[in-house]
Amino acid sequence: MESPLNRREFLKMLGMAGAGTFLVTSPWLSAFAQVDQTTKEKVRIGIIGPGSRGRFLMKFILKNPKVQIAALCDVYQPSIDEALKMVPNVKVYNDYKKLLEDKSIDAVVIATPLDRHYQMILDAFDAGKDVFCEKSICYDLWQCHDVYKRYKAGNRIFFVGQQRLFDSRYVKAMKMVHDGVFGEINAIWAYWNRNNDWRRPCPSDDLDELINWRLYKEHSKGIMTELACHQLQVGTWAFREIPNTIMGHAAITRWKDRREVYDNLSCIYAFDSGVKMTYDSVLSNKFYGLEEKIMGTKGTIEPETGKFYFEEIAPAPAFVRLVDEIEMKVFNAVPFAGTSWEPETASKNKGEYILGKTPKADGTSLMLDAFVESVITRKQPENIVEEAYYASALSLLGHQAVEEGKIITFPDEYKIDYLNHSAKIQ
Amino acid sequence: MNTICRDLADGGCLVYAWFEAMHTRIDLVLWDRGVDVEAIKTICTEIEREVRRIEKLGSCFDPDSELFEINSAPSGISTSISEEMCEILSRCIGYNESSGGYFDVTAVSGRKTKTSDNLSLEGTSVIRRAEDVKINLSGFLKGYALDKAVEMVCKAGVSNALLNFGNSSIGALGNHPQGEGWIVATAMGERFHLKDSCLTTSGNEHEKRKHIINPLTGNVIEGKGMVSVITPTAEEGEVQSTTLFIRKNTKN
Repeated sequence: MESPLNRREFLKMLGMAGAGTFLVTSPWLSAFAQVDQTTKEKVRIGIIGPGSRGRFLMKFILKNPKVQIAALCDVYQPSIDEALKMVPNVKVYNDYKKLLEDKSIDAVVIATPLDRHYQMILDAFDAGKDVFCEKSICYDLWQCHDVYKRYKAGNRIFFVGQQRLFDSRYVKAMKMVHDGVFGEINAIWAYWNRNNDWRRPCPSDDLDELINWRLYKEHSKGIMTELACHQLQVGTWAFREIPNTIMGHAAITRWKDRREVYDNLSCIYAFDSGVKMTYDSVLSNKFYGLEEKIMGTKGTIEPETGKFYFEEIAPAPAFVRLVDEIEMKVFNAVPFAGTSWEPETASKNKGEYILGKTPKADGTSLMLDAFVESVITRKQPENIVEEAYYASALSLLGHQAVEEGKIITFPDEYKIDYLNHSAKIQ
Repeated sequence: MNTICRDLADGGCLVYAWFEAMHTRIDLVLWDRGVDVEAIKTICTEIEREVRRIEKLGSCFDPDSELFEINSAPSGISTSISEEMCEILSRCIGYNESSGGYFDVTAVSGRKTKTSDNLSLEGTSVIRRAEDVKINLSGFLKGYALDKAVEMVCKAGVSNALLNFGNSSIGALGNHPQGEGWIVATAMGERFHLKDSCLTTSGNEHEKRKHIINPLTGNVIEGKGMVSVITPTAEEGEVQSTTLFIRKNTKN
């Protein structure tokens, strides 16, 4: 399990005394602006769907002294039993609507199968609850759009589990990309490869669809909504633009069991300028694992592994830090002096670490902490839902392109006012 | 050349530029108020051009360099050289005298004789006294180029800069935006406060890296260790740090 990073450690990892200079690239970090003034607050959260992902989130939530998990809801009793080991004596529901009726609950975490998200989010909004929902937002694009409109019309705090937004490696990487350190970015190659059947253990066949809902089209869109969603968001974050042309191909080539979703998939997302983001995933080879390679004319950055590579010579880490510190008005020693730099070090091109070393955390704990801060302060961080909306939309459009075997243009009716898009229909 | 540029909160702007030349890395940080980013980038570009010109002049590895031509010419015969090379060699002969023989650009020949015994300068010509006399400016050229770079920054009207030539030759002009001068540290944690001065380090960073010859014995200095000096110019720093490192690591 990842070790949770608190805000102080997070900022320390970014090599800064504060997060100010990162707010342009990652404005949602403003969620921590009042973190020292909220220490006496206690948010009561209900967990809808304490399955494996739900309990993963609970582990972090329980470490935040500003939160109390007050209720659990699931239709699968073993999940409830496991969750009760973590939070004994909390209220238990089998119907999420009953949980939403509980006036003492401030906010809910939704970690249920994808096809359940839409109604649960809307019902939670209607019940006056703030919502942290796992990605993707919804099963269909029209549902995502509807949820976005409802969110905009109301005053609820709404987070979607795109945890890379709070991963220190990604935050720093995006600042470097936007500062032009890697030159002009013309391509991003994202992939997530595994060599397993992507199944969870299931006690009996009749429970397979409930436990392994990711593999069935009625509940999920497979790789696109469960894996690609995270990585496509990285693309729009880096380019600061939404791609308008989507194409793809997919098949089941390795795991010809009862599954209905693909295990071998590629999509291309083309931006108006012609630059592109490609996405690949296979479930039959894990050698290259997962990554988003952001490829510029001067270098490549790989935020997942936490490293960057220059086409020629990399900037000196001590000088990159000096520049950051100057921007933050910090006067520190620059640690680089010594005997002659040996040129053979550069030719090996082993790359440089984005943050000196690769942090173990992936942003999930920080994102949950940010959600809690926002619930307390009633301040929705800027752009966080918009980033999630387009991550979901692009995932779903990729799936649609694959299903229809067509090149798809981003539908006008689902554009919102963000980046290069503007809402065509209010 | 690669750059990172910043507008500073208090006004002014900063440029960090870096490139590889002289078989090492060069890092340039320049900042000032009242100067725009493009003007500073132009200075950095001109510095890069000047460093590459000096490399072409004094590289002992590049077959097209003037120094390579001198080292390849028959010994005992006068070879015509540029005024700049003449000035460099003249100064190096002088530094050999003033350092008691410890700084010697002909040390690689292993002859244990003075530079002036190995080389003769006549007008703008040089004569190598023997076939095994070879000139190696590696311990001099970075400092020479750094001084040129500092001069260019000053001439362009930029008041503040931290210039790194391969980590071993560092020039600091003016101030860090948040303090007086610049603070530079080594990997071992030693800190040096620099203002309008240069820090030069000579030595062996680890046991396997042996590259400095004691001209008086012809032996390579063994063992890990380094000496750093702060001087008004980088050229002086090259001479002093080499001299002190050899003396420190030579018995008696």
